[in-house]
Amino acid sequence: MTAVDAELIEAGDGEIIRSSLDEPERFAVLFDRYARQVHRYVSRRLGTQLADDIVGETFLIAFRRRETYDPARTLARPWLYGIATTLMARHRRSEERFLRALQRTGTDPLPEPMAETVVRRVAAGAQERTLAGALARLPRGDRDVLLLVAWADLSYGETAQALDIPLGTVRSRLHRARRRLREALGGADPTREEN
Amino acid sequence: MDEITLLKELRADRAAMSARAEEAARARLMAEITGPAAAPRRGTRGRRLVFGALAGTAAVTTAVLVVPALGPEPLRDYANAAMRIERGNGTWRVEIKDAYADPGEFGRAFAKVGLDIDLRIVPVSPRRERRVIQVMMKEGRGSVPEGRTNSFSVSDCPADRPECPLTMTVSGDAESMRWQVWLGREARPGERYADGSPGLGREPVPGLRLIGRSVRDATALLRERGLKTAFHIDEFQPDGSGTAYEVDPSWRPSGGRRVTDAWPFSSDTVTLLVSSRPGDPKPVPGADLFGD
Repeated sequence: MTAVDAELIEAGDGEIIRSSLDEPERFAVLFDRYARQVHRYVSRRLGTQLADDIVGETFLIAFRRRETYDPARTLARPWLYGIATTLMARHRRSEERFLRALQRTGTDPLPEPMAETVVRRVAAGAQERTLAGALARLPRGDRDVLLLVAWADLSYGETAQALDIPLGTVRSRLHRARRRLREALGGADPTREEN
Repeated sequence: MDEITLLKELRADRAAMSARAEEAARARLMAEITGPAAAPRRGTRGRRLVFGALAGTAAVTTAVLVVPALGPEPLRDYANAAMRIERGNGTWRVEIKDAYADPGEFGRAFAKVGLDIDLRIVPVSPRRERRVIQVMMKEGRGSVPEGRTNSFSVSDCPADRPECPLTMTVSGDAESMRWQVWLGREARPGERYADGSPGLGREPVPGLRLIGRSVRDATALLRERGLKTAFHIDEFQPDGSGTAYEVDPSWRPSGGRRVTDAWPFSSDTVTLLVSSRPGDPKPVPGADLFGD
């Protein structure tokens, strides 16, 4: 169980990071807040083992770079996801290989650690397999935008911040990625409004 | 159902970060935070963050910060050619010049200042050499006051030199705790790895899928590559609780049983995990035991 200094419970991320410049140990609060959700996202893309390493690296890098963080940004989530995304880039080929394997065989090659769950793997349905193949064929930048929105639940603005790209670029990449997925799935109504 | 909704369902059932992985990542962060490069901009010493609580005899791989006990205390230093130990404000700081030197020497030095820290150099799988793979708090030597916490942080070996300078920070009621630290070294050919366990989430042999195969197929594939097989049995429940244990090396499951996990046992042996069935052997005395 994690006990948190009372005065920090309600502090925004920006305040936490700012105070960590004088009291470095305060940075650990960000780990408590975000490590698991960042891990879940990275694990969905690259599997548990790589996620374990990348999450550790993400927070180390964030700590070393904390002086560059704009304290006016009360949520550090986009910043942390951005660091994780950069670290994931070196594993792009592995990610695409996993997705193609899922498309080809219907079995997800990202194994679950046995200590966490016993899962009877059901073969992926046709749509899941098609989706996996379409994801593998997306340019990395489009895939990053798409999955930050769909899996990390970042807003368009947060995604732009995470990837350090204009908001308009987020919209265009997302539009392009969704169109490709729709085409792969058999071309649903392309004029349907985005949610 | 639109493509975003379908996409949100893809891999939505991934397991959460394991407690072990979370503690290991936190320990790395805390080692960075308490290291010399992270000194605060000003020399202020405010109230330190209570990060976590360690209790009982549970094995932990973590590092926490604690509230200092009382006011400043006199420094108690110890130094020899191999290491230096300083105490101040309720915290011990240990600097070892080369952890791969004589660990027995360190134990004697710790004893002189009243600390019980057992530093062990253990053979590990590739990529884990020069890393602290486990920090355990054993049963205490005395009683710990209610509500008090203890902390232990230790750095990995730097990658840019053969020796291993190590920094440890211990605070709280450190004298009443017994600590065991495992530091990885390169294993000799055939030497058993100390860090083998289920739940690594990856195949042990690059390019070879073992998980999900029959025991017959998996052992044949390993044999083709000149690798031997050891077996563990798991008694995991659907909610993830339970144990996995080592069995007598001479035991072999039937060839049709499925491999549910696999990890490196040594440079020439892979451990295959199978789920328990009636009639399976029980753990051998002193066996590896993972889980609850």
